[in-house]
Amino acid sequence: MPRSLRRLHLSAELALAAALAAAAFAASAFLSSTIWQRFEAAELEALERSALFIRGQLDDRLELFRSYADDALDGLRPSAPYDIEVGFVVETGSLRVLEVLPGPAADAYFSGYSLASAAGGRAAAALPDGGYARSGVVRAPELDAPAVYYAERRGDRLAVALANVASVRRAIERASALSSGGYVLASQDGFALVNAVPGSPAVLREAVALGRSVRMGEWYLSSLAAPELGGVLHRLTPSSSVDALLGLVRNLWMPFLAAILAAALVKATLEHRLIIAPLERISAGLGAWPERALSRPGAMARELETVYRAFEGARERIDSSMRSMGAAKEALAAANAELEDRVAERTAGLNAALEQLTAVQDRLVTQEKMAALGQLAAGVAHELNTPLAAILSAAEAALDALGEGPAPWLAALRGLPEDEAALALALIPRAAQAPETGGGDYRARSMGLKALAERSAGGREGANGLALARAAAAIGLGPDDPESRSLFASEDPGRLIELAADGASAARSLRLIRSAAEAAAGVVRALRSYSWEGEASARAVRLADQLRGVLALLRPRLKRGFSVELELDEDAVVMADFDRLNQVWINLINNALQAMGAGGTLGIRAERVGGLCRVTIRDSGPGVDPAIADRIFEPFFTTKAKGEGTGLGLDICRRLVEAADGAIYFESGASGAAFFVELPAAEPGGLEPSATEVRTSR
Amino acid sequence: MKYRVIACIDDEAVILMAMAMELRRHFGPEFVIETATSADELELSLRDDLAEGMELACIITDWIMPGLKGEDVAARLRALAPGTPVVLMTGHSEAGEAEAAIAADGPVRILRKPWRQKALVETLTELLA
Repeated sequence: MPRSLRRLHLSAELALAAALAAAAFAASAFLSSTIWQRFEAAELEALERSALFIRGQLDDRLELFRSYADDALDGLRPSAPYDIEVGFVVETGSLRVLEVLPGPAADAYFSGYSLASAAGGRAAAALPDGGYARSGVVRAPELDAPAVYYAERRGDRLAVALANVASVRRAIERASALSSGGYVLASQDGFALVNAVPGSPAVLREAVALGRSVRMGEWYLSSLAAPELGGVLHRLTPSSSVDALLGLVRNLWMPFLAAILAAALVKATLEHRLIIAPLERISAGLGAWPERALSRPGAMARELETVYRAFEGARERIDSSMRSMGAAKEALAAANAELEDRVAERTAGLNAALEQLTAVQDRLVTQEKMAALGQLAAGVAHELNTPLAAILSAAEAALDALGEGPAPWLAALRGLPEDEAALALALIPRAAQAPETGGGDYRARSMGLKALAERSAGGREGANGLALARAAAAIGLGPDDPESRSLFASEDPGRLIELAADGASAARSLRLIRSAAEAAAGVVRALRSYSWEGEASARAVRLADQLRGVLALLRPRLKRGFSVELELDEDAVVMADFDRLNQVWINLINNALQAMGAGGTLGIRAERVGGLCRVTIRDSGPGVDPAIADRIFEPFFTTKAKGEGTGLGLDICRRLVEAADGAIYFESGASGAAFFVELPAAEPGGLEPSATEVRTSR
Repeated sequence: MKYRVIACIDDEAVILMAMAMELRRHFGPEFVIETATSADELELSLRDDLAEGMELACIITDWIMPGLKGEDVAARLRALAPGTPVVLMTGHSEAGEAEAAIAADGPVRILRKPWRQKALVETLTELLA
């Protein structure tokens, strides 16, 4: 066999083996980088969720301080707050310092780093009255510990609060528990403010690579800039949780390489022993043959026979080697098949591991949903408990008043002189209507009545007079009522008041039960719309018609001080449940009207934008407070006074819109707020032409 | 005769109405019942009463109110009349710390919401004795 041909053959084999090995290596590298990217993305997502969560927890605390600071600025000292370590108000004009909260306050707080950095203008949120506020985490050198601060400047006055780090740690530990990762909150220069994971590195300065996961000792460290928390939030995940999987995938190419090398070795050995070596021997024999045959003529026939046999033997050996080559080829194919099976098995194992990871993530999301559900249940329990307590108590009072029948009360009334009995009866309707809350002009009326009592016969002065006046004020009397004069002129005004109050008690109880039951029914109604699920019947809805219908319903309210700007595209048609969608518009328009208060401009637009229909509801109110912008879609979150709203309106809107594959969002500024609802567009075919169109076409 | 005052505070007017009705029926007219939805309002009325020589006999307060807690009310009103007994009304189950804080300055009883009239009357009878 020529040497060049053998070289060519050998290089081809080597190239093939190298190509196979490279392919296996590339495949495992690709797989491992995919797994790494997914891990990194999941870490960052968990960080973003946790930063939001921690901020929400801190905002609650800061909100509390803020209300105390408001009191302090108004000159009213709040008593015994909780969770605030120290707070103070400084009037910088004359540098008057007013400490508002108990705690280890000292002059150091007013001159040092914490005040300067807490009240600095950087990233401050503007307040509506021209001041600004800022909150976050600082390292307070006086405390030698990090602190949550809240600073608010209004004109010459500056209110600052520092809260114990325990608040931050609790929030971070709760975030750790929710997403089962460790967290460290660090300052911009890498100093750890709060560690929520034992054994984590204390100084992270070297490792800060925002948006990346970096290995650091036994941990993988992911970092997210969170200026609203005063620094950088780090997440620490034990490296063992990812490394095992990555190592397995990265080394997948090694068994491939070993198998390729072994197969090449076997093939080379077989080729050499069965083909090349015999051919070389023959080639050498043939090269020497003619010379030897001519020098010894007698031996010619034997030589020929030998040559013939040699060829015959070579042919047989070639046949047999061809057969064993076939067998070797089959064995190689079988080995390859086995290798493929093993690769498939490994891949299946990896897929299972990935699925398990996904399942763990899903479970975490479910846990957060369950926590939200728990809050909802607690809110509902509280909302129902209040009217129930009132119903129970009023029912008992009514039983008390009527349990023995009206006979004893009538007997007491008959025992009175005729004019006094008539006066007691005349007081009953007023007593039944009187507010019992002590509010309003109750104090003013009782002071007036006291003066009247003192002027009347019988010398009812001081405490006697005041007790009587209070009792009369409680059944709705005032100093200018003629009944009051007759009452105080009578012999025993206390007795008459008592008889009137008893008479009114039953009616009052029933009224109380009715209003408490209405409140409870309101909660249940809100919940029923809250639990709308799975019963939607979608049909084509022309948004212009529907919005005109909603406005017709609200016309009586709109007439009082509101102007409406309408811009309705008749082609905007969506597939949706008509009633649910109606509820969304009613909720959003109601909110807009409430935001504008006495009057303003309501803008309603329906348009078709490509494959979407968009409805915009715009008001000219004060806009959404940036401090609560993240929370307005949360259930039971409300800015309205107690009893005016359940806090479910926007949450219901969001759920209904999302159930129809749509999206809801808002923009807010000084000139008002605008809520946008986007829904997939449907074809208007099959819809009756709207009433407006019928009119125009005629 | 020395008048004694029972002071009630709750941010829910409907609760306050119901409670005032029960108290007037069982403890009037020997006791003057003062009710209010805010601590400021209640404190003003009580100052009038005390100025006329009345005596603060008992404070009934809700636990959780907007910007105000029952222990704050107790501390503020006890500043007018030290050691006055307090009834803390609560719909929550974890009022232990609040109870301990109030118990440091005088008698305290816990009443669960919704309450039974019998429980309210018995608790008050015991505290007012």
